[in-house]
Amino acid sequence: MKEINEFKISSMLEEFPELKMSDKTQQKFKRTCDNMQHETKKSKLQYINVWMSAAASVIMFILGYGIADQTNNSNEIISSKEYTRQLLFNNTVQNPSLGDRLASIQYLVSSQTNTNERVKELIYMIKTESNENVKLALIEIISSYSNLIEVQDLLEEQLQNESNPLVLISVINIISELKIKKGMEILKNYQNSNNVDPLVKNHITYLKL
Amino acid sequence: MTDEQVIKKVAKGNIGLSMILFKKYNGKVFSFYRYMGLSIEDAEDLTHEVFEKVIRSCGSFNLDKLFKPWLYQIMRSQLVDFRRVNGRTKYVNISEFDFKETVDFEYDEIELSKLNMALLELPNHDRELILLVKFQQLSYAEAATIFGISEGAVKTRVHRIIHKLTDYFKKQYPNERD
Repeated sequence: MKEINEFKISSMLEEFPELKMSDKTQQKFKRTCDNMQHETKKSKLQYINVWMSAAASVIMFILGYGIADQTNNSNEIISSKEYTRQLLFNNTVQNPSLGDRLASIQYLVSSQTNTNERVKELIYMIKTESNENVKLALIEIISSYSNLIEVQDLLEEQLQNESNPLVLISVINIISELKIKKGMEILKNYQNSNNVDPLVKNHITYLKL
Repeated sequence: MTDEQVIKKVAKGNIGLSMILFKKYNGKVFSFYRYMGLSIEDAEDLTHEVFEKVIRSCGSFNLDKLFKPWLYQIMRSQLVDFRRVNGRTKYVNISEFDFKETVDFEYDEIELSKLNMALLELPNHDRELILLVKFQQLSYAEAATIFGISEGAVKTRVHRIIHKLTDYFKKQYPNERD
């Protein structure tokens, strides 16, 4: 009797019915596959893009040396290097990956020896950047040049136009620390305005201008 | 095309082909979670996560090995994660379980429900093992790899579990002995 029961249970377990998932979940997985396929294609394109930029940079670098060998003219090397930098700069601004953008920004900032040019590039990037994290990093970098008029102008402009509260708070901190006159006036107006984000307004109150 | 050939192509970027594996195994994975006592919603979510993980980690799949045990290893690890997050609170009441979701219904519903109830009485590790060996029909060697124990130990445990289930049946339904 015992033997038969054990055998029966074993057979029943082997023939346990397979249950069916809802069609909704099956369709959800199909969508996930499509999205992942799309992501893969996109990342492959980005990969190619990065390699093409790198290849272009190397070619330009070699060309630069080639020209220098022939003409022995250091100005041409500088111009070639500058052109390579410009290529990388354009690629950085358009790069869809945040990580790549941040890495390239670090490189661009450290490789630019002319301060005015560096600030110009940073201002351009801040004005065109859409991601708050990249923008915060850029504002942190540019804050070390806040003694320059164009940087102060940019901060005032950001103070009036920036919609992201986190970026705005970062700008406010720099303005209040440096006591930039026009910026301070705008901040005082914000204290009494009803159109300012409550988070930003609280922060201004906390600063006790 | 074998499962291993499919996964190789998926790893190369042909993600659409993973639908072949999904269609072949989703019922098995989903049923495993249901028989482990998860609600339909949780079992569906976990099944979806398993196949998503298969696609994401297929690059690390060893092509010298078989796909099925690898899939069941992922299936088990997802369940472990689920338990870690949800504890036992999200398990269904055994009386809520029925067999309305079955693909082919050619069994005695009452008998199956009783066996399922008996299964739900087992400790988790025993239930997992018996489901993988009997319902999913993994070989003893494959189950041994997944559970990290010897093949002999798997055989002994399977035998002991069946014995336990038999005893449970005898105690719960004494009049049904033939």
